[in-house]
Amino acid sequence: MGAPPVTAQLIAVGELSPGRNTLLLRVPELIATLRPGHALHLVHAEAGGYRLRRVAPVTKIDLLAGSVEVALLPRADGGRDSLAELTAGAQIAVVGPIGQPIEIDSASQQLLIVSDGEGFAWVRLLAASLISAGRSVVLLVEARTAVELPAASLLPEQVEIVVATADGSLGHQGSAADLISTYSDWADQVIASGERGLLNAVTSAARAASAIDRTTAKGRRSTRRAGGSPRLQLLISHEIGCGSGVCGGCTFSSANESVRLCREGPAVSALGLSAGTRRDS
Amino acid sequence: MTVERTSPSSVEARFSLSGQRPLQLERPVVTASGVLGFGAEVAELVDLRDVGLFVTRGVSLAARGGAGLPRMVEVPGGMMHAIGRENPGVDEVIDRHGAAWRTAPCAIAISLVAADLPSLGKLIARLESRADLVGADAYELDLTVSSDALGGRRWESSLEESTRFIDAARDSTELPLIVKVSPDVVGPAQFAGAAADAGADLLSVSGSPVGFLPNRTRAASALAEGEGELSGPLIRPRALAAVANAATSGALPIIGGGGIGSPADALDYFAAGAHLISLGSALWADADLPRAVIESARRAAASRGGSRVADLVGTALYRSTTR
Repeated sequence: MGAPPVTAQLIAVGELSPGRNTLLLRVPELIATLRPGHALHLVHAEAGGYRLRRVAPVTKIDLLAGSVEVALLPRADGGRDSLAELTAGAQIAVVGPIGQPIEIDSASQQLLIVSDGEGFAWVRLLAASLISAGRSVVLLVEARTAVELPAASLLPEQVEIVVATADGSLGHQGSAADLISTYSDWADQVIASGERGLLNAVTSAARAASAIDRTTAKGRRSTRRAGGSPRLQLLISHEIGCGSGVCGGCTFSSANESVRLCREGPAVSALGLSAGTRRDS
Repeated sequence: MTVERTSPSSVEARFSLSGQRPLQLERPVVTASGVLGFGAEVAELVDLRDVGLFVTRGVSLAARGGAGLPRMVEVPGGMMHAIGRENPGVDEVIDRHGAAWRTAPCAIAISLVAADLPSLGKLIARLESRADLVGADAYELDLTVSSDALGGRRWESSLEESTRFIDAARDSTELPLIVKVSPDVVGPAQFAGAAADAGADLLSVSGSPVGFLPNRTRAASALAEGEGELSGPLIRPRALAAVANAATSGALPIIGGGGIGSPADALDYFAAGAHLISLGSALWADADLPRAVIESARRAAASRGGSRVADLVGTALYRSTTR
C-alpha cells in the first residue's frame, strides 16, 4: 500500500542492548531517502502466513555500503520475534520511509536527548547525525539496571552520555528525567523517546525547568520557537499498522493536535501528551 | 464421470441482490470497515476496480474521539486493536469523502456507528438528506459497536436490541442494509433469521471478536482501552463456524471474513456458506489480494465445472450441533 515494498537482504542480526535486536539490511533503493526519525515497515510472514507491517526505527545508515540498520521493537505480548531468528541472506519485504524526519533547527547547536532502552532505537541515528553536523549532544539514558543500557560504543564518542539506573547500579539512581534541570538551560532543543512514564516525567521536568512553555534564562519561549521546531519533542512509538495513515491505529490525538505517527510522527509536541495517552504501555 | 471444464475467465463473479432493494456487485469481494479509511485516500492503497463493495470506516452522527495509544498491537496469530470508531462526524465525513464515493469504481457501503436508536435515526436522516453528495449503495449497521441500552455491551450481544436497531434503520431508509456482527454473536443462525425479519438484506459475519492482553509488565493492558478487537488468523476458525452456522438458516446472503490472508482462506469462506468475502488487515501487506481472491475463486469454480463463483458457496456446509 502506498509505496510498493522493496526486497531487502539481511546482512546480520545485531543487538542494541540485551534482548533488543537489530537487523542490518542491504536495501540501496531506500538509503538516500532515510533520515533520523524515519522507520521502515517490515512485511514479514509469521507462522501461518499472516503478514503484518511492523514498524522498525532506522538506527544506522551506511551510504557507501547501501545498508541500513533497523531496530525490532518488542512485541506487546512479549512473544518470540521470528525476525530476530532469520539468518544472513534472508530476504525481507520492506516499505519506507515511514514517518517524518525529526525537526532540528539550523540554529540549534546544543541538543539534549533523553531516552530509555525502548526509546534508544529512535534516537541513535539522530545523535550520530547531529554529531556529524558539528552539533553538541548530551544523551540522558536510563534503564532499570546497568546491564540493560545500550552500549556506549553504539554512539559517536563526541556524544556526552549521562546514565541513570533505577537500581543505582550505574550513574544517577533514579530517572533520566531527574537530570533535565541540569541541562535544560544549556539545550537549544530537547528530544525525548521512550516509554510513556519517561515521556511524562520528561515533560513535567522540562516544564518545571522552564524548558517548554515559559521563558527560559536565555529568553527562549514556548513550545514552538519563532520560525523553528518545537523546543521539546516527544517521539511516540507504535508497533504495527497500515503505514498510510488511514487505519487509525497510530493516531495520537490530544486537545492540541492529531498526529498519525506513521505519516506525521514519530514526533509530537509535549503539551498534549497526557491527553493523548490514557495508560502506560 | 467426466467433468466438463470451464474457462476461469468465463466464470461469472458478480453478486446480485434482487427484490425491493437491489444491490449489484461486480466482484464478490468486500473491504472491511476501518481497514482502508473513508475512501478518499484509497486510490493510493488498493485498486478498487478489483473490489465489489468498499465499506467505509465507521461514521457517527457527531464526531467521536479515538482511543488512547497504544491502539494496535500484535498478538499471537494476529493483532488486537481498539481505535474507538474515531471519526469527525457525518457532515465532515461527507464533505471530505463524498466526492470519492460518488466516483468510486465499485459500490459503496457506509458503516454506521450509533450507540442509541435516536442517534441512528438522525444519522441516517442526515445521510439521506445529502444523498446526492453521498452516493451510497448500502449501509452497514455495525452491531459490534457498544450500545447505551446494553450498558456498553455490543448490540450483537442482545438479539432483542439488535432487532430494534435494525428495525429503526429499516424505517429510515430504502437502501440495502448490511448487518455486521462478529463471531461473538450469540446464535448466528437465529440471528440471521431475526435480522431478515427486521429488514436486513445481508448479514456480514466479519466483525472482530473481543480480546484482552496484559502488557509485558502485566501492570496494565496492552491496549490503552483495555479490551480490543481481534483480527488475523487466530479468529478464522471461529469466524468460519459463525458463517457456517448463519448460512444454515438460509435467511440472508452472508458476507464472511476474519483472518483471510490468502486466496485459499477466501475459498474456505465460500465453502462455509459466504456469498461475499470481506478482506481486512491483510490488505496492508498485500494490495493485490482482492484480484488474487477473484482469480482463485474463478479457477476453483471452473475446476468444479461451475460457471459462477456462487457455485462455491456452501459446499462444505454442515448442520451445526454446537449452537
